[in-house]
Amino acid sequence: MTGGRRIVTRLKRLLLLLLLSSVFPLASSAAEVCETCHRSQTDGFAHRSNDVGCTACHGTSEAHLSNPVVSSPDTTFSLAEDDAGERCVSCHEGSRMMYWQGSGHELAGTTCNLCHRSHGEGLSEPELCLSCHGDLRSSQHLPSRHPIAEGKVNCTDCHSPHGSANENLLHGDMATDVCTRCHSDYRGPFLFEHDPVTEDCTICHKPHGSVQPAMLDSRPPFLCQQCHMGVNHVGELNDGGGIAARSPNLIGKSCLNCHSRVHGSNHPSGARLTR
Amino acid sequence: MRMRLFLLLAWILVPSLVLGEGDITIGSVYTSDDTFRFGQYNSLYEQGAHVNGSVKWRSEVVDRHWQLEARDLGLRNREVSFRLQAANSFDFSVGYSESAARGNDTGLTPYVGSAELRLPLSWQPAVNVPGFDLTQATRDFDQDIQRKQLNIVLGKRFNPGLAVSGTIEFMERVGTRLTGAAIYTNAANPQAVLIPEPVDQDTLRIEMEADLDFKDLALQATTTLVRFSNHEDLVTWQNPYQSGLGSSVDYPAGTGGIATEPDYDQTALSLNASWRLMPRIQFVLGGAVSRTEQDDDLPPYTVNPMLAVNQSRPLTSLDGRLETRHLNLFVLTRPFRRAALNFRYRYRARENTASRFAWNAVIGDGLDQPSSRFALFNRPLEKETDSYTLEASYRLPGGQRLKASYVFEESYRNFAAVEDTELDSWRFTLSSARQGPLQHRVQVRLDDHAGSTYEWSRPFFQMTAVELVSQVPDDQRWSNHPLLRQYHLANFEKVSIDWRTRWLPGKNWQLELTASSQEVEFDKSELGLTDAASHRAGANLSYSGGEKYQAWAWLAWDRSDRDQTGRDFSGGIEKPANRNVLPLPQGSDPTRDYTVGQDTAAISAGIGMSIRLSEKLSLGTEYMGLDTSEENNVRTFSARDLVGGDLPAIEHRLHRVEAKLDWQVRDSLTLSAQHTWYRYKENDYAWSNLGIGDIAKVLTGGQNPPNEVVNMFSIAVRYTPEGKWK
Repeated sequence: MTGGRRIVTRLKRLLLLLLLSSVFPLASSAAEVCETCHRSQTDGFAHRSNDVGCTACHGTSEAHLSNPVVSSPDTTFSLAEDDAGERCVSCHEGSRMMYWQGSGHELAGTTCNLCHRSHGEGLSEPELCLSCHGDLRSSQHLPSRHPIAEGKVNCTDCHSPHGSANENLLHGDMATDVCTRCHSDYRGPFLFEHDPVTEDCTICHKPHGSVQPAMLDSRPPFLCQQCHMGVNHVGELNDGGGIAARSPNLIGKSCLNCHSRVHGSNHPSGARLTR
Repeated sequence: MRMRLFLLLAWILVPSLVLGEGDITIGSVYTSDDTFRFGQYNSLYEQGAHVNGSVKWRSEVVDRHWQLEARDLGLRNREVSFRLQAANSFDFSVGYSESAARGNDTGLTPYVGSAELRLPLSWQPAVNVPGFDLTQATRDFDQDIQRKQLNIVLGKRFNPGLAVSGTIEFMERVGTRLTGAAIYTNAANPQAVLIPEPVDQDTLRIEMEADLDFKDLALQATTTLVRFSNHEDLVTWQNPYQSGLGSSVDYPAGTGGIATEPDYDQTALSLNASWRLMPRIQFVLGGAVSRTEQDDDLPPYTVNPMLAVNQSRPLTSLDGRLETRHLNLFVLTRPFRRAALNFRYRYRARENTASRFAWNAVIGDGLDQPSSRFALFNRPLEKETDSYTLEASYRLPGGQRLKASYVFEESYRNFAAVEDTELDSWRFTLSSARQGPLQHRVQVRLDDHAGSTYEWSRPFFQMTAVELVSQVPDDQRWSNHPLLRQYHLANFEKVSIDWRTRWLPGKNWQLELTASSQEVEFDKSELGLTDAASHRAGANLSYSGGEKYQAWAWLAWDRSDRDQTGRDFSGGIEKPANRNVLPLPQGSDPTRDYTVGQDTAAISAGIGMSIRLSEKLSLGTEYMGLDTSEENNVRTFSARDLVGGDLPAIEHRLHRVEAKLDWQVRDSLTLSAQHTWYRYKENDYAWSNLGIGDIAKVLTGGQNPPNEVVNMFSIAVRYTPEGKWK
């Protein structure tokens, strides 16, 4: 076959593919039938991409198809605890839902359809989570925070709403594992380690937001003096007079004016976390 | 081969483009002023106009579905993601994201350079900061960290019971942050500077996961590889001071150096299994191990070549290894339809295999290497925790659910003043059914944390060389005062109450009230944190009038109170904690105590509504306000030289008003206009009107707290051809 004939043959194939693609239905036939009346429910139908039609959840509903005014579909759903989740679990089970049973959400009676919308788009994060955890709404706007409002960090970046081995529904087993996934520079190990860093980041930080800089739980030097009370400047009284005197314990970065390697030091002279 | 690939792509994309749906938005955004708080995370920190755009497009061809999303294309916060799925077959996605974290941009620095910071040739040193001539020698610098992230995920489902996925993530962080750095001979006489530290790091993460699902058995295996690379190993700076420490330390020869975070490689493996033995009994068993290794070359004891170093480092690289082990065993049962009884066992272990050596630190790049008796040992920290949980839950008639649980946790830590700690925790929850117009939830939690004998001398022995230990009297061998109980090791009793009520009086209304309170008493602590309390209350109200009208309002109040006690004392013979050596300030004198009461309160509120003015015109408005106050009240006892006095209150005030108008010109064309007014003011005493030369021994760079009024205007055109995907 010559080069020119080869090109023509390929173009014909391409044209055939295009035609076939435009002829093939875009959705399952079952959804198309339901669409004639339930257009608003089938628009944005989230399961369409996995070839799941209406009958997979609502049953074949032949009586409803014959006489929709008189007969309801075989299965309908409410927010009742017992039935709303069971149909979902019939497909969405296994390893993805391994920690669901007994999880905080499951024991609180949170059913699948409280968060997920089978028909169309519902709320997205963080509004979805704040619809129940409204006490955290104000945290998004505190002076020191994660960029949740800007969409750069989502609740599910740290938390697993379907359950996890961690009691706070965190991904991973410990808070430190979660934090160092993004703040990977603080994982260590360092030559000289700082005890609370290796234990739990939330000893010093409030990940949902804080009035203090760097999402700290308390302000240096007082935060540091909760664990460090030694001679001279370590246990020194820091009061209002120190502001006027421009004490380095209070002004600027406070203790971190010198002890900047507060997450750990890999320097041979760094035992005091100044190097 | 290439032609076949082209045909495949064409087969997918061409009809998709023709038959797909979505929208394309192009617009412009204008910010009226330079800011850093308003633009902290949204990259709108500079006055001026930006062209911006976003795309959302999706399409389906037979059983293949793809979607493309992109937003903030004209800003430093841009994101693009593409996803291609084939029903029950494969799932491929690639995403790229940028984000800029902006810090205060009102600071100055005399330093030039990046990892080797030098002062200008015209620099005039001085004993203290006020003696520097900073009018000519400083430049602006921006605290800015840009993060770029690329994610590629490919998942393949071979059959209903087997799926495999792989993820590659690459994250890069580049920028500058403000870091404290000191050159000193002893802690009483530091000479510090705040330097613009360069940040240049990247993290590569590769994860593979396999999921096997059988009828009553589910298995999941995950392996993860992480490589962290820091392209800056050491940051050095030139000492600006002339303080009589010797020509090797003073300007211009004196140089300080701090090590950056080390590179490491981490390998992790986790295996999880869930087995439904019977319809009402499920076992979950999971385990994970990880190993993190770092062997970065250690910097020398000092970067100052003029100082005498006569002892070599015991190691030239740490060759450190951190191993973690986690084990979870859950037995989840439903003995009756309404009841659940669960048992959980969790094991956590952190093991640090680094060796311990005595390090002859050169004090702050300011002194020759001291005698070996002042050497300090490194402490490879380890912790092991066993946690046992028994929980029972019962659904009462009427749909209410009662849950009770007991947790017992014991931990062991090496190199800590308290080796063993135990936590007993009782939790009770009563919640209503999720149906009905009135829903409530109340939780009470009681925690009792206790530790073994507090060995106040242990940290001293662990860190200090034997020669020095033998020279120090028994009752002075402590790093922290013997009466201090460190926060996370201290005995405490904690009571927490959490209450939530949701009222849905009608289909359109929802009111939620929340309140929580927590009181902690550190009953064995005489120094350190002694009491802590936090209280929170909030209300959320929303109304939905269908597509035509929606309104919402919320109010939140947070308060936190912490009390801690300290003791102001000096060193030397005044140090004994238990002996009376008058008249010098000493560790044994309770009159030298002081208390700090930290009270923080925050009130925030928001109100908004969206109205469909007509079929093609909608208006949305929202107001959000925040007011915080922090007080640190200091009280002293009878020591005459300790006066005490409250620190100035720190306040933050934020107001934000937004209004947005959408006009659907045609079915496929919508014009949007938005105005945001933003007002933010802060008066943190640590940074309030801080001049670069304000602190005698710390060259800070100066900084003004944010006091911003910003107007942001944006207009956009959204094209939505047929289809309704928004």
